[in-house]
Amino acid sequence: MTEVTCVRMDAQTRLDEAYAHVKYATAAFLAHADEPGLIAARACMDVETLLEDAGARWPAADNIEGTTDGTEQLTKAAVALDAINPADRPDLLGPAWAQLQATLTQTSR
Amino acid sequence: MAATVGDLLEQAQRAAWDLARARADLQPGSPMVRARQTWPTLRAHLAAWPALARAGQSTLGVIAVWPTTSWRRTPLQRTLERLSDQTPSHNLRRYARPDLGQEPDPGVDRITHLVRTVGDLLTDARPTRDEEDLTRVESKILAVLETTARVTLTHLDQTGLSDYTGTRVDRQLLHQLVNHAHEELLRPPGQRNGSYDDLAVYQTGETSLGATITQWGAEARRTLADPRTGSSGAQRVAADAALLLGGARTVLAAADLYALASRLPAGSATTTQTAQRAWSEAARSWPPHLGVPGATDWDFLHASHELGRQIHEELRPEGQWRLPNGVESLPTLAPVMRRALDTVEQVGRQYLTTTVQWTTGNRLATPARRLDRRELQERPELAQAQTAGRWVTLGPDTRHATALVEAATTAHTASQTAATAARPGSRAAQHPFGTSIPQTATPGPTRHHRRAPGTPTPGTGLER
Repeated sequence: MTEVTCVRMDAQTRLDEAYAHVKYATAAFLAHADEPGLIAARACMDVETLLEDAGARWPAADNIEGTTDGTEQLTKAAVALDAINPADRPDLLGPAWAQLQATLTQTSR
Repeated sequence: MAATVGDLLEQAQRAAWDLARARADLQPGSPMVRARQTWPTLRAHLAAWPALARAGQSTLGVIAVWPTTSWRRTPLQRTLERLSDQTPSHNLRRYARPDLGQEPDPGVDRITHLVRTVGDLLTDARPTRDEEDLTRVESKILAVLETTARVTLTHLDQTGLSDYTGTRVDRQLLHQLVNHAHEELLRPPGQRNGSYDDLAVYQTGETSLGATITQWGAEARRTLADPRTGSSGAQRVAADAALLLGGARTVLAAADLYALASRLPAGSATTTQTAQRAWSEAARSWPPHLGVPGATDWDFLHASHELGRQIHEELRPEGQWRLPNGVESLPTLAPVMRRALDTVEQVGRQYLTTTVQWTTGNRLATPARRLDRRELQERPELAQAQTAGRWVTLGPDTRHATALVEAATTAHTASQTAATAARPGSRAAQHPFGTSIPQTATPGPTRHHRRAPGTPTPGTGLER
């Protein structure tokens, strides 16, 4: 019983971590002050919303120190999400994951 | 060993996860080069979708007992029906037809097989299952369908193909599927079946760019005035406004160049660009660690997505704004964009009002450790919160709050100037800072969805 609880807490931590990285990615793209940056930031906002739907907690943004590289932040978010045990993934994490990958594809061009 | 429904669903979820992970690593290049790289995967996805849509429709039908009369079908049901229709009404789908030799994508095919098998198993077991079990199965299938649709949409975007290839229908249907499936997922389980009357609202309306902008403006003002909305919504409004003004600037610059209709004052593109920069700055003024907790507003989010989609289709088809000589339907678009400036001005007024209310109402929250030394000296009680790693609310005179209001004021003022400058026959008027702030409108009924657990609410887990 204890073990299951630990696994779930770990999933929540990683989900929160990914959310924080995406929030920093949004800020990093907005800092570009150009239109591709703005469009990438809007895409990141979509990922933020989907992660919130999947259970990410809002105050998590303070848990990490962000960088000014939006793509790097998104990659870190992807790593955090992929590290969640498949059995612990909430149903709504799949759409968030797909949208994160789409945003990574868009911003890596 | 026999596989249970739970096993099959878990496999389907993993397959969808892997499908998203396996996005093509495209080499840098022109849109045409990227399109060529993605084209085989996209064709394979589109060839696989009719079978997946049929499997989804059939399995969800077993669970939810969907209505069979056509006029009562849910939007999700109708979308799946249209996706499963193999009648080639446009070129791309024709090229992607399995019966013409196109192999369906094996990843999507596997998901189809798993979803169909779940449906087969449930067909016999349906009368003996309780509703809670079925709702859980339904949620997983909806999530798998939404995830797969988002992956296919990514491939569609990667191709950068314009509408002559017939991708518009596929894109619209997949967007509809994503929206309907997601909304169903967020709906409390007990309300899913039969509560679909409100879902078709945004499908039946006018879909021109002008109507989309009007709709976005109305939704943006409403959501900003709604006390349930948080800073994520406000930041999106600012980013949307900047994008819309980018489109307006493109069209007005073309109109300037061709001295179109002499009804549009020359030079309005310049003031529009200034307003665009001001709105970008307003979006930027929300750092990741500062915000107002709130719920996501589904109606506004949809209007925002639709605005982005249409602007990209009309004015940024290949990831770049059209050149002045490339703006199609300029005589039609120019007045639409002139009116868009009025819309942004109205939104700017509400944005400023809301920002001021949040700051004066002490609704802004930030981790105490983000406060600077001066702020900590002014409020010694915060030092303890900082040590404990707690979040605190900010007053209107703090650095963050002041920066937010300044950015909102500049965006509002620049929007007023741009709208005035573009009005036929009028000279750009000066609107000094300090414009009176209107009262907040009473928010109407909306579909705010549930908030993630653990989200702080004002007065909970925060200390002043």
